[in-house]
Amino acid sequence: MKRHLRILAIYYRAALMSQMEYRANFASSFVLSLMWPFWVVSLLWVFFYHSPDLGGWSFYEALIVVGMYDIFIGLQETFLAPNIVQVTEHIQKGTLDFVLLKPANGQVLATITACNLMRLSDVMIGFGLIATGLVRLGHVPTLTQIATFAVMIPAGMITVYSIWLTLTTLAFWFVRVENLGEVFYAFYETGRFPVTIYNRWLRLVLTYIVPIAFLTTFPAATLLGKLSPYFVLGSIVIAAVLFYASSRFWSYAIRFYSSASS
Amino acid sequence: MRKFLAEFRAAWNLMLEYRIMVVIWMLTIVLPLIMLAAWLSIAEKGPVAGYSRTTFISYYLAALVVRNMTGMWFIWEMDSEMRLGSLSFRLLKPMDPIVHFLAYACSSKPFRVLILGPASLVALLLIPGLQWNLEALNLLFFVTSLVGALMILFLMQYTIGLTGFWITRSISVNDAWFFTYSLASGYLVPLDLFPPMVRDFLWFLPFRYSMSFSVELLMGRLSMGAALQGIVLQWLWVAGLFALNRWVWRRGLRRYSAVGA
Repeated sequence: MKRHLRILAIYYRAALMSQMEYRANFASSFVLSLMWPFWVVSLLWVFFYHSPDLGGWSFYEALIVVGMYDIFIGLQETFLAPNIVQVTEHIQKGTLDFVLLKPANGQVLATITACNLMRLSDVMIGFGLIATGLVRLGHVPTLTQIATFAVMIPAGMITVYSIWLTLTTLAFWFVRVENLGEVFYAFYETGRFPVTIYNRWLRLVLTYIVPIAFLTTFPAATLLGKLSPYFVLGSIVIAAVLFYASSRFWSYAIRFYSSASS
Repeated sequence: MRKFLAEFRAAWNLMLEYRIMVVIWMLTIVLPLIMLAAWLSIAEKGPVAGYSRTTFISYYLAALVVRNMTGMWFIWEMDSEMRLGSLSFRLLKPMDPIVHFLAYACSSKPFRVLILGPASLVALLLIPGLQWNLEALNLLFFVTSLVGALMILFLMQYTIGLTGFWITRSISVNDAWFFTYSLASGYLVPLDLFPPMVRDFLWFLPFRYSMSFSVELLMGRLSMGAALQGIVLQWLWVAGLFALNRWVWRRGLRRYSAVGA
């Protein structure tokens, strides 16, 4: 465990150094990410121009959901999306062998070593939106609310990682899976607004089948005290189950890979 | 025109290899549908600014049709040609590159008609009271407006692509442009639902004619006079953008040869 964390730190430091070399690039993506909150807030604001609430959420409450959405989009784009690109390239060219030969856990090396640190700006914007919402609501979260919130973010991250890992693993059979990533994004978009706006069936799907509600709506709701803190147990169980299942799927696929080629 | 058709045939063959991807792209346009879901939840208590639940459904389905028939992302192709220098070969051909890129941008459109046609029929059958005006004359106006909208979007993206002569990140500019377009054109929010001052301002911009105008036509919300006036204004925008594009193109080309690429 400790050794793998050290390996990850080395990979991330290298990525940071190479990305800092393209300074103009760095600056332009920063300017773009400043436009982003303006855009989402105007989108949200139009609803509240016509209605006092959106699915039972006030403007600043819904802003916290939007903040959660940005946090997870930032984390995914930083730590997960670059890997799916890299692994599919490895599989297409047959260079995955070299990754797997290295003396460390193959799953770690293949699926979380690439990163695009510029997108951390989205995470910062997300926290900014959440802070704005809390201040304007005058809501000071209790210690329990902060603690459950703090657990739900890493649990959500593990959930998202497991979904990405499953998609990546499919690359062993279907070589071009970048498009499957698009399908996941399509589902993820629904997390932009509180899950209560959708009809009953879609709400069930988004809670239990593709658990987007556990990423954005539920953490925001527990932080605001709109939801019992016991929901944190739900996030933990979902994260654990999905992580276990997707890791098993990966190791199964790896066996398939070595017997198929090389 | 012959050149355009030849280029179009080549781009169409290329597109056919990626037809599964085109279907996936069509399916993954979900943001308008999410906006629709949000409006439907608000409209449960009664119409919003004159929009009932059926009006919202009619609006966003029409917006999806218009987006599918007019959307394009050829700027990625342009960006790589300009950076890697294959634009130089294109300049040697006795044909302006704009013809190639226009053909490339249109290549998936016939395929999309084949999918959207039956899909629209299913929508008409399944959703009672869908507010689409399907009279022949109105459809003629609608199709004309789609061509105009496609030209506006094409010229905007091509001009942004040309800024690649000066800056290396024309794609970022395009991303910023897309955010503006999606809000200002009526793609995500019907322009009628903005506060009156904002709406009047947005009506002055070309964005309305790249989306909202076609949607309004399909929904039969415009009188004959307003439709004709809109078509004229739309093509004036096309002409204006074309003039701007040619000006940027000439300036940029001089700069391109100056670098000696």
